[in-house]
Amino acid sequence: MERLDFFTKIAKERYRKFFNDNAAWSMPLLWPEIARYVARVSYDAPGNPPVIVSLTRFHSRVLPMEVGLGKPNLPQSEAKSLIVYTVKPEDLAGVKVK
Amino acid sequence: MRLSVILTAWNEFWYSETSPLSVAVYRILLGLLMMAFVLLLIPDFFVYFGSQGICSNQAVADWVNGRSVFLNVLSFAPDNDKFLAAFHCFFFLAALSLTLGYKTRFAAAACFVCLTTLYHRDPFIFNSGDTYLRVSTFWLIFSASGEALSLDGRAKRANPQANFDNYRLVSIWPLRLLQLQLCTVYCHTFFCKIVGGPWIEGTAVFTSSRLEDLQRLPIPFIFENRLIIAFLSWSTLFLECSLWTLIWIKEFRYWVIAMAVIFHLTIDWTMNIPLFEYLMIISYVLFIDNHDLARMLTSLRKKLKHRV
Repeated sequence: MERLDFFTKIAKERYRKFFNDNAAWSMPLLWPEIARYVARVSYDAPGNPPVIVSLTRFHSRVLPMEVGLGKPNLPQSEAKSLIVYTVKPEDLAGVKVK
Repeated sequence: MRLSVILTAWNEFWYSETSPLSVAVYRILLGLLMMAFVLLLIPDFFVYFGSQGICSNQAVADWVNGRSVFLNVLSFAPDNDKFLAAFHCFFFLAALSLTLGYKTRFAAAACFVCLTTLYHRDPFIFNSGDTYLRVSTFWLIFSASGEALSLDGRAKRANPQANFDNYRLVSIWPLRLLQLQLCTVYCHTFFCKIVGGPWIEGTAVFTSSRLEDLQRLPIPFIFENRLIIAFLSWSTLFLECSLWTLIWIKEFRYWVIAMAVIFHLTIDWTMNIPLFEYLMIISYVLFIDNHDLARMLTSLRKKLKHRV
């Protein structure tokens, strides 16, 4: 979201809500859903279907005001692996490969 | 104080009559925001709700532990993208109809069902502003918002070109429900904030200004000054408290509304939460005195006529 321009950011805000506020933290039931979606949109070469999708959350904590005032935010270097999903053939059913 | 005084005040608050003007202006503004809501969903509509999208029907069913959800029109044809597209077109037409005041009550009911349907299809993309939109639309079904500034009302009025001050009076209680709904939002957020440390300590605005994924346009220096941050944090608490208390007192009302508009526009400048701030701002119309609103609209009409 940070890298999007002004207007794109407005149109894509619901992705931030979905991923940042819900899926990445408190909704493990959504992780296989996201993995399947990523597999479907990544399947762009005939005969070369995606095999594994892994989701990783990157984040950093906002510093308390006493130490953070006047300083930039920390880089988002804390990583947590959410899921490593093995794609099944039925996950790609109905996908039209160009 | 005598009991009869309280009862009279209670009856006057809930059961008196008022002009439909303020709720009609609110209906138009809400309808415009609803159309923007529908249009903003279009670019990624099938990603959010489609059969090959990011969240399946099964995931939502699992989330609610398999319980049935009745107000979901899409459950009649699950995973049918053509039906989904037709549904969204219908939603847009309902929002347009609500704005114009054509078959107003039906339009409000249709918009409510559409909003609720989308929520039940993928609840994970909606924020509390969307919930407020949904609940307000529900109350609008019972209001006489179609009695003024509407195609429905135009057909009923003897002289539609007359001033905005002579509409037939209507029951006040739907307006009261809409007003109380707005106050409940601020009351809730106020009590959520005062139980935590950062808002009382005066550091909360610093943290919220550092949420990078929510940032929109920068305000230089403001969020780097300890005193200004404390002032903004405490002002937020004071204003949110005023918006369910002082707003009811006529002498303070317009001052509170003016401060709240500035408050929400500042949030809109700095934070990327499309429509939410405007949804709150348009709700203040519900607290504007109908005579004042009529004067403003008359003046606006004169200016527009002069320009034409």
